[in-house]
Amino acid sequence: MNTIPRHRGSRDLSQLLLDLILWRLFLPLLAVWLMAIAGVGFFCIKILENQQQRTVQSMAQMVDSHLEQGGRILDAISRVAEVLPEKDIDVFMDSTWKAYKHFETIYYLDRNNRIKLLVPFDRNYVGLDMSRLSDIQQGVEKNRIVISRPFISLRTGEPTVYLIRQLSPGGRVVGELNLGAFQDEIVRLSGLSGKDSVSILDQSGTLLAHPDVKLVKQQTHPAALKVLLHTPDGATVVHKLAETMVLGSVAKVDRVGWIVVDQIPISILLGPYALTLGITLIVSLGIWLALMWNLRKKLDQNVVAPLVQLSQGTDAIAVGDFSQVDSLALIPAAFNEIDTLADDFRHMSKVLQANQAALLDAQEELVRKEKLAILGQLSGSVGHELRNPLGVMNNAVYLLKMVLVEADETVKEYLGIIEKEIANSRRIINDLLDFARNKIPQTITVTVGALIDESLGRCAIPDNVALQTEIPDALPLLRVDPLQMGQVLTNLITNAVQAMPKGGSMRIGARKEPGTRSGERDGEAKELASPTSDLEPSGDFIEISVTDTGEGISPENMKKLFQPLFTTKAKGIGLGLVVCRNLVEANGGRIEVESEVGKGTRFAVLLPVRRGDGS
Amino acid sequence: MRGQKLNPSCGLIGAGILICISSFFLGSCTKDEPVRVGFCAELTGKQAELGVQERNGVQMAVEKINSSGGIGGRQIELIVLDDLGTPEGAKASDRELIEKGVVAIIGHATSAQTIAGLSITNPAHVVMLSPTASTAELSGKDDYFLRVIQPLFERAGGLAQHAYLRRGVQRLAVIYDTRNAAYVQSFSKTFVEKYRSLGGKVSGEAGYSSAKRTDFDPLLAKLRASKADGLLIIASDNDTAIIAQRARLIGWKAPLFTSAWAQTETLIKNGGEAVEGMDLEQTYSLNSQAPDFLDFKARYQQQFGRAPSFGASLGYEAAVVLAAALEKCGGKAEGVRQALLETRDFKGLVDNFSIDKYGDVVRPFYLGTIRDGKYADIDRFIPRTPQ
Repeated sequence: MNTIPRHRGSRDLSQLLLDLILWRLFLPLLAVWLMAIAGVGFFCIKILENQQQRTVQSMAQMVDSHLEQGGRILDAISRVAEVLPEKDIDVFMDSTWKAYKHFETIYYLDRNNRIKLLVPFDRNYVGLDMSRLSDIQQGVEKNRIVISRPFISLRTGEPTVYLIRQLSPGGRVVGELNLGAFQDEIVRLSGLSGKDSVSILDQSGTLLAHPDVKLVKQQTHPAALKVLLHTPDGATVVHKLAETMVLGSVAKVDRVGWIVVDQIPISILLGPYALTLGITLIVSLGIWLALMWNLRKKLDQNVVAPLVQLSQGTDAIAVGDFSQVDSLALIPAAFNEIDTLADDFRHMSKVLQANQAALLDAQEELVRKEKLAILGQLSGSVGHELRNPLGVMNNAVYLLKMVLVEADETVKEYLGIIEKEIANSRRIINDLLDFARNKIPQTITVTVGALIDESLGRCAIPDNVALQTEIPDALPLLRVDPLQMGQVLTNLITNAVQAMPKGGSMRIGARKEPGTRSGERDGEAKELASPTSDLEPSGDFIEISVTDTGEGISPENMKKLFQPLFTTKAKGIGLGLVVCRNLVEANGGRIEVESEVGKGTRFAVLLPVRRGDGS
Repeated sequence: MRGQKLNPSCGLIGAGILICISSFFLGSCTKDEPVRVGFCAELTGKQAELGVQERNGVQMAVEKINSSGGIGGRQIELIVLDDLGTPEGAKASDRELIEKGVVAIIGHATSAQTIAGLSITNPAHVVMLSPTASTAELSGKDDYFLRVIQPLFERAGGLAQHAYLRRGVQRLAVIYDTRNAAYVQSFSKTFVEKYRSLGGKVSGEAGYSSAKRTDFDPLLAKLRASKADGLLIIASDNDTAIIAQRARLIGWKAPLFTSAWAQTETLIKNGGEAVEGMDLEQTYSLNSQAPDFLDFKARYQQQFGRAPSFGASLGYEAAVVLAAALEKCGGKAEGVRQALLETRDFKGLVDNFSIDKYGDVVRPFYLGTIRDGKYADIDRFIPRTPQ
């Protein structure tokens, strides 16, 4: 396809539109979309954080209450132990241990921290020195429960702590508290979502509970989790765990400095968002490319192509080629505006074409008129200059004829020829002069018959031409310049005779013609009549016609019949009919011609009948 | 039309979006494969303390090596398995570690499990580097077993000499845990041979299994009845502590001796006053003031909330010397054994050590005692020159 030349600083329509769609529609929409996804992701993470926090807080609370209850039981035993005799302490400890089933073992230590009593009973332990256990040494403060560091119990293989309480008379009560119960809860919690990993760590980062119980029993210190030991209670942090990033929430058990951690891999969280985001981007890209392609195609088809065609049409018109105008009708325009533009363009082209044709006609007419004006001036002065010598020559011939009455026939014949040629020359000069100057008609009232008779009198009708006249008696009078009308009729009769060199018949007729025979000509007649008459035209016409049976006039010649200097005669200068028309029109009438090649021609002079003239 | 020419801004945006999408789906760039190192010891059960300490020591060393660039830029991935303190568990774990493609295995903690595991690792030509398996049974063998602990041959002999000559114990009773038979038999055999060669008499022996619940009082009463004036306990830390306490509780005041197996904090904590004055052969001088060791102790205490035992220290040294060997052979399994065998005068936490052609370590060992709830050195034995 051809292109429209590019102007500096301007862009193609399709590029402009695509840029607009890209920057003002697609990218803002995409940005809003991404922000929405990010927002939803953010809120989901917040919700998850809250959920994680609830989980770890409730777990921390459970741990705390487990320890607290142990403390209360131990406290109750201690209070009783402080007042009971030793033998009864054993029974009381045993019943309490059985009632609560809270502790694995309850020890009663003497002042030297040797095991005095323990439930359930184990021979090997009775009397053992427990003073070197560092946490036991701490339990010096009365009425306060000290909780030892957790350790893996050799008996149960599960994490265990000692709860130690000092007795006021000396000695201690120690409860061995199994922490295995947390493990079940952790496994239950982690199993709920299938994604979370809830763990409990002691103050040095050793696992106390973890979904994988093996790790707990192996006293694992997960380095990745230890970073969480120093995060504040209730914090949620993102950290690295075995090459994956996880979101971890932390709750602290203040009583012992342990932490409860809930972790979920970021990939599980972000996976669906990354997928959504990816799909969104791919779909957006697809939509955008499809939109771009479709738009460009539609633009090319419906806007750019018509515009290019219009542009080409304009270029063609500029160089005067109107042939492309019609092809514009074939433009496939789907838009009203383009349709209208194409219609307007077509209309403008037609008007321009018509105007240009009219302009050319007017120019031609102007040139012709100018030529005629020059011709008029020239013929006026030439005619004027020639008429006087011709008059002198005519007088001289006349005198010679008078003098040479006795001369021989040859002389008389030559004198006749001279006289005839002088008459011809005078007629031509008269035609020239008539053409050159518009003589104002000197109208008088005449009869049609008189006009015709006088004209016939001036013409020599050859013998081989049969003359017929049909002049009704009761014709209205005419008010015309008889000389001018005589000249017109003479001219027409002469032409008719000359059209029949081999003879024929000539018919001269007159009749009354009612007015408004031809509507379009009526106004013209009236207009022409007004300056030449002081009477109102009646609307009726007298038609005087001269009909011959000559060769007829061809259609081409018919068009140029009244043009100056057009003639088919060898001796004519082509002014006769022009002068006739001018004279008839000066007298308020008009000339009409009908002709058929090979059959003859009929000239009709229509002259207006004056109102009040009567018949 | 300009249909063929892509709008430059369209192209740019398109490319940007494509890059975003591809970065989402291609994921992170590929990393160097880690160097996989296995660790296997008893981590759960009654004698897990040694294994846990060793694992902690190894873990500390690996973290330190990884944080300072790993092996030639590759990180060490430590795969920890629990041998459950049984020969079957040891074999299964070693098989699993070999399947996971480890270049070497650090372990096991106890001799019985080590001997079992070697039946898997030796045919597979995978190096097993034990931090604490010290049975004499494994000495002088040209195989894929190496260790950083002194074989107990000299140590047991040293302790026997000490008991007979210094402490003047003429009649000695022995109690031992049959569960770690390889170690116990090796130790007691070496000890007894030396002790008898010096003129001492073993008045009685009692075996028990830590796998079962044992009432120690009758055993101890029987040994005491053999008129022994000294008791050698070959058992784990906790068992040694209880046996010591039970001995004292039944009123037996004879001097107590034990092996390095029990040399942990647990022995002191659970032993109470009963272990005070107990003499033992030590693989490690736990009260050494060597700066590296003090630093190690402090870091261990900080990281694990308790003091390191000899197991932790030897575990740490095993991991460090293995990393040095791996560095030499480019992290591949093939050259590790040879690289380890070429270890000479390697800087340990307390003493330098070498590894001889049989994979046995050559390093000093110590005789110690428990004084005021702490380990104290009483003698230092200079090693043989490596062959």
